[in-house]
Formats: sequence, C-alpha cells, structure tokens
Amino acid sequence: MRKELKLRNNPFVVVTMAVAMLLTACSKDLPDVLPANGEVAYVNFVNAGEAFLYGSQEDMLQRENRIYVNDSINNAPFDSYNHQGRYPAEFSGENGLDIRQYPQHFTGNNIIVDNSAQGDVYWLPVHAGDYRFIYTSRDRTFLHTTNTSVARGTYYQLYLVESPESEESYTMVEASMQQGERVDGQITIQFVHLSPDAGQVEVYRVDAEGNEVAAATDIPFSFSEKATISLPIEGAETTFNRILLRFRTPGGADLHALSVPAKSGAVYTVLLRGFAKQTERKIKVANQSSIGVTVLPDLRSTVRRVFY
Amino acid sequence: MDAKQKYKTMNHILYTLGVCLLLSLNACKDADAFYEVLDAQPEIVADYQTLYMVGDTLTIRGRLNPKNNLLIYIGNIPVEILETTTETPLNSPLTLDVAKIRITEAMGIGRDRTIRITSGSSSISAPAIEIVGDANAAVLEKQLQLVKVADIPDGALPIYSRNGKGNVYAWNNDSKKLFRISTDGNTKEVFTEANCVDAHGAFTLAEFNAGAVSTDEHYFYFSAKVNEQEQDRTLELFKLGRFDLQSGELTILNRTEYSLLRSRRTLAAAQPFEGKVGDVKIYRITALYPDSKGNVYFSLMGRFLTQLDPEGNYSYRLNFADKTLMSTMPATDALFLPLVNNPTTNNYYSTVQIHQTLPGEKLNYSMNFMDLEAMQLYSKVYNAGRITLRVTDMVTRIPMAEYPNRGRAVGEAIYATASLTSFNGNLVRQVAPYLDPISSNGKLISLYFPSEEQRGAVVGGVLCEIDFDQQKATRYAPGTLRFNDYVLESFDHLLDIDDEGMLYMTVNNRTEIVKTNYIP
Repeated sequence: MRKELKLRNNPFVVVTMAVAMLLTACSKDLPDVLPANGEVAYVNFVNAGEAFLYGSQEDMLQRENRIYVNDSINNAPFDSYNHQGRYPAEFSGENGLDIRQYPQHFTGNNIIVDNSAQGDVYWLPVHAGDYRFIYTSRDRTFLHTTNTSVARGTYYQLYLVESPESEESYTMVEASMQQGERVDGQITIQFVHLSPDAGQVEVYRVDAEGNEVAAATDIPFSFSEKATISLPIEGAETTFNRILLRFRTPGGADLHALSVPAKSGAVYTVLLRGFAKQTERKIKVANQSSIGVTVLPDLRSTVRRVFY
Repeated sequence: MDAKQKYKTMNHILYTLGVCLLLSLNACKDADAFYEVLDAQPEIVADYQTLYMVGDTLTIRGRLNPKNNLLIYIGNIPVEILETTTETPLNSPLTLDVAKIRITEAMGIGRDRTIRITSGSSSISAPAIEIVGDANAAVLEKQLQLVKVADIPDGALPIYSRNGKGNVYAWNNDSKKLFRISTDGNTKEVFTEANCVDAHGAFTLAEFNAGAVSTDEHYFYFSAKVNEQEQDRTLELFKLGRFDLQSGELTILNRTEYSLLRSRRTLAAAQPFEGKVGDVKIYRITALYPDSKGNVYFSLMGRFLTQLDPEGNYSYRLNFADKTLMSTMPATDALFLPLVNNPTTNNYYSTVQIHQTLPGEKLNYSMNFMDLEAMQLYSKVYNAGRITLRVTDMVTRIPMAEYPNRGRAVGEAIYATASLTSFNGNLVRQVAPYLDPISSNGKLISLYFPSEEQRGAVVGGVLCEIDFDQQKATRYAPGTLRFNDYVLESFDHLLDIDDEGMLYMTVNNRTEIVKTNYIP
C-alpha cells in the first residue's frame, strides 16, 4: 500500500506550519502586495469628441455619456459604486471642461481642482488582458466599440474622437506609455494627433524671441499618430520656465503654439485637437437618428501631466 | 500503535510545541520592541491649514511625545513651542498631544515652508505650509486715500494715455474736442475738428472710433470714419491720424476707402492686410495703445491685435479666433469691418471665415488688457469650468501661464501679501467695474478685495501689486484704500501711475478724476 501523507494526522506538518506562521506573523519586513499579482494595466478614458461641444444643451454630453467595459453592462467593474447602483464610469458633461476623462479628479467634481493639479491624468487600474470598450453618448446612445489588449505595467490613454472617415463615425486613438525612471534635466512629451482635419504636422522648439531653435519631432505625424520626444530644460529660465513649441505643416505654415512647464523629469502628453476648418458633423441623438451640427475651427492643444 | 510508540510521539509533539512556544515568545518580544520604536516615533494628524500669516498660531496634533525631547522645525528654524496639552477627540479611544506654535517672520515668507518634527531619536516631515506676510507689510510705507484731481469736462471721456505723470486726455464726441487735464486740475483744449485738414482738404469726423496719446504726450493718434468735401457718394472713408500736440501738425497715416456697393467689397479690395502703413487697408480701430518705444498697437473690434512699428510697418500680431466670438452667419458691420462679399454665395464672409482668412497668430481666446513694457497680454478665460487669468507672451505669442481666480472663503482672512496661488483677492473680476490692473515695471497694480455697496458700485478695497515673475502678490499700501466717499461705478477704470507710484483713476461714473495720496 502506498504511504500517504495525511496532513490532519501528521503533527510534524502542523507544527512546522505553525512555527512558520508564527515566525512570519511578527515579521517587520512585509513585501508590497500588488493587486492581481502585479498583472495590472492602467487606463484613462477621454471623450475628446468635438462635435458635442456644438450641439444644443440636449445633445451635449450631459446625460449618461459612458464607457462600458466588455459588453456585460451589469457586470462591469465599476458597477454598484458605493452600493448606490450608480454607474461611476461616466464622463462629465460640465460645460467648458477641457478634458472629459474617467476616472475623474478624486473629489468627483471637476469644479474643485486643487492648485497642484496640472492637467493630471488619473488612472483606473485594470487586470491586464483583452477588453472591449464601448463608448456611448447621451442617453447611452451607442457610439463606438473598440477591442484592445492592455499589457501589464503599461498606461493607456484612450481618446474617443471624430473619425475623418464619415461625418458621424468615431474612432478611438490609443496612446500608451510605460513609466520609466525619472530623468532629471529634461522633459518627455508624447504628442498625440487628435485633429481629424489638420493633416500632417511636425513640432519645433522656439526661443524667447520666437525663433526656431530645433526641430522637436523628426518625422511628421498625422491623425491618430503619436510622436515622443525628450527635450533638455536648459535655458528655459529665459522663457518663463516653459518649453515653447510650435506645430506646423511639414516645412510649412505654423498651425498652433503652446508652452509646456520645464519641470525637470516630467512626462507629458500633448494633444493636438479640434478641427482646423469649419466642418459639418452629425451627432447621434438616438441609435437610429442624428442631428447635424457645424463645428467651428478651433485647432488647439491640451497639456496633460502623465508622470513626475 | 503500542504504548511506547504513542509515548514517543507525544514526546515529540511536546518538544516541538515547546520550541514553538519559545520561538513565538521571542517573536512577540521582537514585535513589542518594534511597537516601542513605532510609539516613540512622532505621528501627526495633518489637519492644519496650508497657509498662515505671521503672528498666527499653528496647532499640531498627534502623537508628539512631548516628554521625549520634542523639537519642531519650520522652514528649518527650530521653533518655540508655546504650550503642549492633550485632548481626546469625540468617540475616539486615542489621546492626542497638542502643540501650539506662533508663526514668525524668521520661518520665512513664502510657499513650501517645511515642517519637521523630532521626538526622541526619530524625525518626521509633515506637510509644508505657506507663510504670508503680515497684513501691514506693503510696497508703499503709508496708507493711501483718494483725492480729487479734476472734474472731467461734461460729455468727455478719458482716452488711453500712459504718460507716467498723471495727465489725462479726454475726448468729447459731441463737440469733437480733445481736452488735456493736467495733475494740477487745469483743463485745456488741445485738438478740435478744425485741425482736420490733409492733402484732400478739410474733413469732418463722422464717427470717432478710438484715440490715444503717446507716452511722451507728443502725439494724439485717432481712428475715425470721416467725410471729405469731394467724397465719392459710393464710398465710406476711414482715416488713421497722428496729430502733433506740440506743433499742431496733422499727419494722416492711413486713408482707406470702403465701397458701399456689395459687389466691390471683395477680398482683393480688403487687401493688402500688411505692409507700409500708407498702403494697407485699415478700417475701424476700436482701441489704440502707444508704447514708449514708438510702436502703436491697435485692437480691430476686439478680434485682431495689429501693430504699427516706428518704421511705419503695419502688421497683424494676434488673431483672436475665439469660438465665443465667432459665428457661421454672414457678418454685419457691427461685428467686423470690412465686410467681404463671397461672390459664389453672394453672402458676406462669416466671422469664422474672417478669422480664417486674415493674418495673425491664431489664439482661441481674446485679450482683456496688456502690459506693453513687459510685453504680456492678459486674458480672462474659462478653463475646466473655472475662470482663470491667462498670460500670453507678446513676443513669441505663446500662452505662458494661467492663474486661478481665488476668492476669499467664508471667514478667511485677507491674504493680500501671498503667493499667487494663495492670494485670495480674485485676480479676475467678472462684474463691472472690471478694475483691470495698470502695469508698472512688469507688475500689475489694481484694487482687490473690493467692498461693494451694491452690485456695480465699489466703495473700498485693498490695492495690491501682482508680480508674475516672482509669482506673488504684495499689498500696495498698508491697510485699505480710503475712498473718501468716491464710488467706482460700472465704467470707471484706472488711468495712469506716476513716478511716485500714485494711481490715477476715474470715479463717480467717469465724471471725476482722482489720484491716490498718502494719508497725512
């Protein structure tokens, strides 16, 4: 007969376990415990749709503008927040809000932003893996679905934005980043092109007189594309401690200018967004109907602080 | 199992349990020792304010172990602890130590004053505070009051003139006369319509759009729709003039014809936009701002900022393509001049098309006031649902900074001397009188913390100097500004600042000019 190890009847095993437990019980060096054993990815959803800003009050993103994860509405990770059955994965419809993101500021109120907030990106930790993200507009009108795989230790900014394909289609632009070591003496900027009609752009840096000092991005990039650069902050004291940048068409006319804080080691995302020309778009107001809006030219940028 | 074996096993278990007990006792001794270390370490409830004035009392609560050689450092200075007590918060099993500290100037004025608490052999850092200067620390030494300079002649309104002496120029649009009101209260007529003579003969001012006097009081610049004697009846005429206040000579810098016929209001007719001032097309200028270097800046109906340099070159600097100012409907002459006809639709260009077609660096906001010495432009903008003050560098034409519009919370003291993030006097005033600041040496000075009799009537306040370079605000004079029964109404505004730092402004709905003066 095979000899079996019976746990319950074996005092040595029990005692050894007890000793081990006792020894660890009073241990002073507890290791950090990461959720999901470190299999964590981070996401930040942004409704960067431009047409909504021109709809009537009714068509703007005031009502139940949401993000669903996978297609099981009842089973989403943010369901039943605070036992109130409220769905917190909602974008704010606050008028004049520059970034409609989820998660929002910790107070849950975009009006109350403390002075330390510098366009900070807030992250929702999720288990790494495959997801289906479903964006809806007012009254849960279906807008766009995207299937994405999120990898551990990676930070994803997911922008819902008008697609140039048709006047009522949307697309999701994904900008991902990994957190590297902080590098002092420079800033890192990830440019994300979210303007459906601005065409190819490149970025260059200017000095205090407004003269070009260096090309910042080597390769021009167009809608939905990204370009990441690192710039030394040396000399920024002559420019209000900011790094001055201009977008232009490749080798051509200036489109837009901005400045980014020269904060040593910081990592930013800069969005080029809005339409460059007056554009006719449609806003879905129900799953079968839409209304037309005229979007005004408003090519602009938004600086978001990602790390450090 | 026989008895011997049973005994052996029992023995074995007892032995192991004994070892186990010893180990566990030892383990708990370790833990106890560690708790002692933890207990000796100070720990605080970080519930104190983030900002204190010199003279305020800062209360720190927590496990401070006052008997264990408690030392507190603020801004790296060891501080005197006024008293230590204990308290037990409601429904809490804990007893907290309470230490009170008087904030002194030695701890350093400014942001990020670090707090370090040392007790026994451990030391912790607590959230830093900001220390603001005491209420009476100010730029000027003595308290100020408003005293009368002169009445503004009936029907006249002050125009832009930053001469640094407090002399005020006022235009009467009915009699078409310019008055100079000097600081001694004397009022003199310096320009009338009779001076309007040029190569095309005498002309009248049908519509005076803007005027300003240069910083050296040498020139009076004006923009007007005019009528010439031999004028073509299908034309309107706009002139930009420069009148020499010393020699009495008038120079017409630009004369632009504007056809009354829609078909002739073409894009070509509106050009050239830029070039030599005599050659370009300039229509209605709504504000003129001469600087001390011989440049003149023009606001074109709040939509464009153009510049005339000392060499006579006229160029578009900024194009305020502000969404809230634009519409897709055909423009009207109240919105912008010139109107440009689109031959395909036979409609006038919309303001969207105007901003897309005309030159100038596009900003998606507009301007409220400028500092022509520091070359900065200030805009009140809505961002994330809040109004902020945005600073744009006029050289690079790039926005550089944005400041929150912080007001006083209920029961909060006046932080007039504080960092810009803590200054609670509202950098942006959203109701009339707007009290837009006046610039001086790269700083802005205005009345903040206004006390209002009713909406739109300011009867008191604190003058403050805002320094964007140093990121701080400083009370301009001790105490509050004594108004002496003058009232700032909807359209009253600051006019000038002289060498002694005295401010000039209109009061009582632009009927009088007052200046600040030390209270003897």
